[in-house]
Amino acid sequence: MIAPVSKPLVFWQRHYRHIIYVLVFLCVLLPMFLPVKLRVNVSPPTRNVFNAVDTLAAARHDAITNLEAMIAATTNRTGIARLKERLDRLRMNTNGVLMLSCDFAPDTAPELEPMAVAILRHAFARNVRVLALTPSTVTGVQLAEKIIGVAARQSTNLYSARVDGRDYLFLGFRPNMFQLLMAMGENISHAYVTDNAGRDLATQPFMRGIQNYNDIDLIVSITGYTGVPEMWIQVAHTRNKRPLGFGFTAVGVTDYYPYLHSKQIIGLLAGLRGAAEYEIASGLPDAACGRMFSQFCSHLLVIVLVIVGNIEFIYYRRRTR
Amino acid sequence: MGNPGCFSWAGGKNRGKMVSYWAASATGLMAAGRMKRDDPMNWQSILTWIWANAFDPTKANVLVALVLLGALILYFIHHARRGRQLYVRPIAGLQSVHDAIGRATELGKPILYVSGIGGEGDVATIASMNILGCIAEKVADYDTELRVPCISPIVMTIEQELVKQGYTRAGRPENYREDNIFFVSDDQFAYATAVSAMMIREKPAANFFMGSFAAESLLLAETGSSTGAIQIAGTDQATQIPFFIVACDYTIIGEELYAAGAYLSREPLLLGSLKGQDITKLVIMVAMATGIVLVTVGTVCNADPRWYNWFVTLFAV
Amino acid sequence: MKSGLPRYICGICGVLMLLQFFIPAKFVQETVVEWVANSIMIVGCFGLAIGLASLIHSHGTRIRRKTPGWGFSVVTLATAAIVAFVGLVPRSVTFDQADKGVVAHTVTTRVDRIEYTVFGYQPETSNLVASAATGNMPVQRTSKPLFDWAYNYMLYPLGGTTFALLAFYIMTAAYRAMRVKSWEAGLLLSSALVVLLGQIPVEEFLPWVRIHGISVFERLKELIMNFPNMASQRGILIGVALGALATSVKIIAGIERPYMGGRS
Repeated sequence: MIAPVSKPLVFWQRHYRHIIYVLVFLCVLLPMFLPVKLRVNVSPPTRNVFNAVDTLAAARHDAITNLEAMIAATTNRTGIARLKERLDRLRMNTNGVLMLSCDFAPDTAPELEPMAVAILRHAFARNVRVLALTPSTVTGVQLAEKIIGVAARQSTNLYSARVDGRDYLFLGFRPNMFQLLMAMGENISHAYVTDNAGRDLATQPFMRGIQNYNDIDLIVSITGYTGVPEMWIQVAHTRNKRPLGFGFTAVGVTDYYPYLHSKQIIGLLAGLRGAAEYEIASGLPDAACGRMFSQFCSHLLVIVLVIVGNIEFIYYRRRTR
Repeated sequence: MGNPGCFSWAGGKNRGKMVSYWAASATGLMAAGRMKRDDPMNWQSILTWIWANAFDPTKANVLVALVLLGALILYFIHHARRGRQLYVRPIAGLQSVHDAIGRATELGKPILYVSGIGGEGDVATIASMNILGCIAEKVADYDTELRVPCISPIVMTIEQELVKQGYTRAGRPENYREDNIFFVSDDQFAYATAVSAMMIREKPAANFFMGSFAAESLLLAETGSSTGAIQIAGTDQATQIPFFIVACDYTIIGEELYAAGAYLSREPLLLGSLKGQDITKLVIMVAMATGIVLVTVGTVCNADPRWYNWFVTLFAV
Repeated sequence: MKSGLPRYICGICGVLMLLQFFIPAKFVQETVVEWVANSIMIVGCFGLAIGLASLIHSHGTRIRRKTPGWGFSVVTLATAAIVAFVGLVPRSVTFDQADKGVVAHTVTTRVDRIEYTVFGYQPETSNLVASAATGNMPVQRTSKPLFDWAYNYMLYPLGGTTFALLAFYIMTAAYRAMRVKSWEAGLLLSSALVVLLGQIPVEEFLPWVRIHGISVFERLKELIMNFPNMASQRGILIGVALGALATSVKIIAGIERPYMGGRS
């Protein structure tokens, strides 16, 4: 490349990294102090997850109705007994059961925590029972606990008390995620044995109506790790035919659009914007919406840098000719 | 971990099942659960039970596809065993592996090999291990230091064995250092930070990033780029490929990573399986094209959906 | 026998796990699968022990030989030991800091008191159990052991910081790499710009880009994500899945043995 002639260009070539770093810092930090509210349109993938959580009671009611019809049509004695057992379990949670898998650690928490809080708050508002777990990462356990605590306290302020052991249960972490998910397909209590607080699941009243995935109306996995959604699809959807929704970091969410379009998952929340969309859909703008202006400014900065880079490129190309 | 289901045959409330297991021992392992003591125990009921429980007919298409595609791969492996030469197109990233190792040897600096953040069950990690084995053999010849930080202890033990075997095959077992293949941390960013610090401190001349990567890919690649090392990266994670392309000298994309082991070693078995993979891909492409044509023509001509849906449902899971 | 036995075990287990997908029998789907899953979890735990041993060995060697940067190894081992000890020892010592840790809870008019304990791990969720069980209790005690402190004030910010570095690297990478060197690069650049503009609510500042309430960039972004992006992702997925299938077939058939040092 031909050497630049002017001093500003020389300075830029030597220190462009540092200048860009400072600009990024300012573009992310300063907008957080400005009270600018941006309108966020709720995209169809986010809307699908929202609607699924919103209508869990209806989904449970449909499942009960279908099972009653199946019992009426079955003649096999063993089959009837098994179906009746399942029907009894379904009737214990008529508002529906949501399994929320918080498969993230502190590194991706700024993007994914608002998603988890928004979904939990929505579920608590609909009196849905929540079974939370962190099967993929041990460093996410305390984070998930904190998130559940925050959502429960917010719901207590807004609706009524949400109590551990009655409205939700946090199972925590167990190693070897794929094998754990497979084992939960048979019996969640056998797979986990105790919850995160050390209480025996076999004696927990919460688990009386929940044996395996068939007793869960919707599974939502919020993660930033590639490979985790594939495990959930293989186990929860392909083997057990349960509806599945994901929340993923923006950098990797494009990988999962094929699953959305082939209807292996019902919806997808994409990064911080997905969290903001969910908050808007549920009518409670919170942390994610507050960070949208920061995101807006940093996106604009990327566009400006790309344009500046191309201007520089064209300028130098013309000089060489 | 308590697992009553595993010990149900030992007694307790499931003792009835124990009796029926042995009563139906003619069917081997499969007597469980659904046969109760009060069901009639005759050959008709046993056969009905076998028919209902031995195979899930909704997964027949998966089994057929598995057998067909697996047979194709095994056929080409068998074909390659008979000594037939198979052509593999040149892959720039793999051609430069020798140059990278040579550069490190000339500069007297170590080679850093990062096999990604996948576990031992991850196919990209297995492909990466194949490449590591080939590189270890070459490195043993030149007596260059090879540093392999690992994110999983089980991957670490496998890679220690691989590198040791590589050195042994090269006839230099005395040069093998077990300390050079070590566990760092099983946390993604702790691992990335440790490897980045290693790059800044030890300034390796060549960095290999082969395997499954997530967000730490750009961190590693940019840090390596700032130290002036030659960098060759390969991953099957489509979202990380742009980061490697930007920061590394050569990038191996997607399935080229799986081909890399075959490419470097030129082993007939591995080349044969590569050919088998390509043929299965061709079969899938033909099936997709057929489906697209059938559905498009059927929709445009307003034909009865049964005329084309049968082909689509063949592939439904 | 030494090389044959692992190969046979691998082959038999691989075939069994393959077959269990197709066999709906309750014994297979419940008992066998659960037993295999539990066994793998137990083996995984032992894997952690191997990792710990390797960590101690590699850092211990650096400290012993006083290689450059051995101080960091001391910090690593000391931190690992302290956090493990603080988390594993049962909670027995409590320090009551009632004056410092009082937080008023406005809705239920209940006073929360935070105690700072040294040892043990206190799941936060169990605090609400205590408050629900004894609803008339005016004071809710929350204990924050040092383990939680280490997580909340060391691991959490450090993890977030490391991930945040990516933002800076992505900006410099975008500036360096996104140049219109050819028409394909131009196409890539224009799609990137469209997707970026679709992610941000541009129509707040430029009302003329809005069509039926949604910005044109957002519509274009959906188009790009739903068609060319998805087509290419599917292509890569199929290729990767085939590679996985071929590798699995080779491992089950014993052609490739990575667990035994690689070659067949």
